[in-house]
Amino acid sequence: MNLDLFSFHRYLFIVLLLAIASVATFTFQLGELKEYANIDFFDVLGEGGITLITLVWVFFILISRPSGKVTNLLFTGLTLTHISMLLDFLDEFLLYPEDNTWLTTIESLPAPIGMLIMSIALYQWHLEQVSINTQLRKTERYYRDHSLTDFVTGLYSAKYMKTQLQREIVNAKNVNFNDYNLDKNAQKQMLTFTLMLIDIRQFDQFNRKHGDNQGNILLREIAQIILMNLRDNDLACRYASDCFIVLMPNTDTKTAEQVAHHIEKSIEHLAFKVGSSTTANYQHVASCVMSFNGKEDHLTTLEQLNERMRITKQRLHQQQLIKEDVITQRDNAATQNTIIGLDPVQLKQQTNKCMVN
Amino acid sequence: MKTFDRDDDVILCRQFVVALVDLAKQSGVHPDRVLKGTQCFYSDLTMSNTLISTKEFLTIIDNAVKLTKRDDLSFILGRKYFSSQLGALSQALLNCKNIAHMIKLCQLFQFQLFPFLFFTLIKSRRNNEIKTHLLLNSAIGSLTDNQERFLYEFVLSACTGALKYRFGESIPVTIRLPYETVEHIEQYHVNIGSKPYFNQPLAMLSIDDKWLYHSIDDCSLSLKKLAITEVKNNQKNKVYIGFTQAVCQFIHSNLTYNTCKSCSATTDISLQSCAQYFSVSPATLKRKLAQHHTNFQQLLDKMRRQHAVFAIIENQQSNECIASSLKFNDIPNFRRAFKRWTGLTPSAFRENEQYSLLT
Repeated sequence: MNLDLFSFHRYLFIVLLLAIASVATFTFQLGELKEYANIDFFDVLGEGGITLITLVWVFFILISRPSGKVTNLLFTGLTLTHISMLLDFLDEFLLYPEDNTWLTTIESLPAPIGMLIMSIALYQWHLEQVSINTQLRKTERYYRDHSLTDFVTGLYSAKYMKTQLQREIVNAKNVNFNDYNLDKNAQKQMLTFTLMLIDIRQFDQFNRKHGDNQGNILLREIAQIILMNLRDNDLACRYASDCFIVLMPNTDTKTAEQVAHHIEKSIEHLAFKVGSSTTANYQHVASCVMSFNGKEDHLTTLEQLNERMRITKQRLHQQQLIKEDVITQRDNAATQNTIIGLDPVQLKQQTNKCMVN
Repeated sequence: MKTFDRDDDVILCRQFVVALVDLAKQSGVHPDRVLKGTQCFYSDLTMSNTLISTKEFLTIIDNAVKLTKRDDLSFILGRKYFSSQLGALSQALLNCKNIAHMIKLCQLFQFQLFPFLFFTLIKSRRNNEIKTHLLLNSAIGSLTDNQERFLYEFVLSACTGALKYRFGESIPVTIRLPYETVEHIEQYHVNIGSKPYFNQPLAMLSIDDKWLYHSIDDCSLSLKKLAITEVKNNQKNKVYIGFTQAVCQFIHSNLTYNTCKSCSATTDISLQSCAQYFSVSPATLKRKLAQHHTNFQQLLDKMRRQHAVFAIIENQQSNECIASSLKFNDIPNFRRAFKRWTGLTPSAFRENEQYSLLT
């Protein structure tokens, strides 16, 4: 259990203790202890249990929420309910003198007030959650399961993506099946989703050089950049290791390629700093996109997507080799320094020439 | 050659345990909980030469996987294994001229490298394409599904990691794994690259000889020699292999010996002859194998199964050929045995194999 938030609520904690202590002293001063034979232990057990459970609820509220209005309301509501339960519980041990029976009549009063406050608090909590959900867009869709979060990047893991993918595929297939007679082209454009893989190149090298912790920080930053470049309905998850996956509903390949290009460009411009050093580490990523073809299941789709990634990486590797080749050729022949400043088409021609050589 | 049992303290904590415990710590699991059930404490890990037994290491694996609930532990450990955990040996490995040399080194220093699994090297030729196969088997007896998966994932990502490091790109290898398709398939996609075939009757890594002898730039033979001498000095004649591995190798050498020379001069493979080979009594052999959660018949069946399956999928041998090489008296007998090993008759298995390669 993470008790970090507890320290923010010292004040509320003191209030709770004071409330319990004052209720206890007050009742014990007024009443006299019952004789042992008169105590109904069945009642003690039941009412004691309820009292304890409300206390546990207060505890969980305090350790899970940062301080603020909603927390205060929740706390007040629960504490009032708790006081009612506590009075009821102490009742079992104490006998109040004749002129103080008013205590038993008002003992149930705090509970309804507390519950009313709790209800208001829950409504506020709902509003709060709505605003948090908008913050969570691009990282969560319709379903929440904290056990599927990847702790390094804060995104959901591949497992979450797989359930979302299954859901998306079922949707796509159903609608396709039902509206089979409708205009096919229109549907295809409406209902295909596209997947994108983003892989950081030379991540192992970075890890070896700067250590795993820095590697994790880099992953987190890159995850943020990917999120910044996505549209509201897209969902990004960490796939595995240095690989991210993005689900883009109602998107065709062309749009997805554009977004992929944007992401590639922004990551290239991230000047990552290791610790306090000022040296910038620039990262390059490989990305590929694939639209759902309407037939396969989620595992086969992922398989195909990864096959694409493999080809993309091979191509990039070849290009890199050619580039290096060009550079060495250029260095060898001093006269060839004209290559600098050539446009891509010319460069490609030049490259081909070099390869033939 | 000396052998070690499951209870012998032969595993260097520095090499295997520390990284695993650190990873678990990263995910918020206290080191003592990972080390629970072993005689090793977190403070022991800082000492340079703490040894634990393979049994304890398996417990640590179980603990770590269960407590962290992460499925990428084995891959993370594997990926950086060659470059960071092996000291002089990694120097030697990363200065090899080609993959064939690397494999040779792995064979020579298997104990330092990875005492849990061992591999048998087999070549096959089909349509003028020569392939090299590394048949992987447990060196420490039966493993649970989780342990088996962890160790194979570790080895595979270590291999691909090393190759990627040397070549700059991934090399095409065919991977067959003896367990069911895993749920965390994405880890295989990203960390291993090549598509693995799950649920196979053997664990095997196949690579084209074209790649095996593809020379790697940037290697220094003198550095390699230096590193090897250093490793040899360090190990001081300590060459151990797992006891199960020794038994498997005994069975394997006798299986293949018979097929090569076709004379029946050698002894048949039995518990008695094996015990004789290790100069222990049959009862002791039985007891030792039981410690490894296995028995002689199980190992014998496993080796024969692998021989038969390999002959079918890589050499395309006929039933007659395989049956005679495995010394079955008649074909029906062989077919029955094959069905017992794999759940399929040889012909059904062939069809299945062709189908799975096409898809």
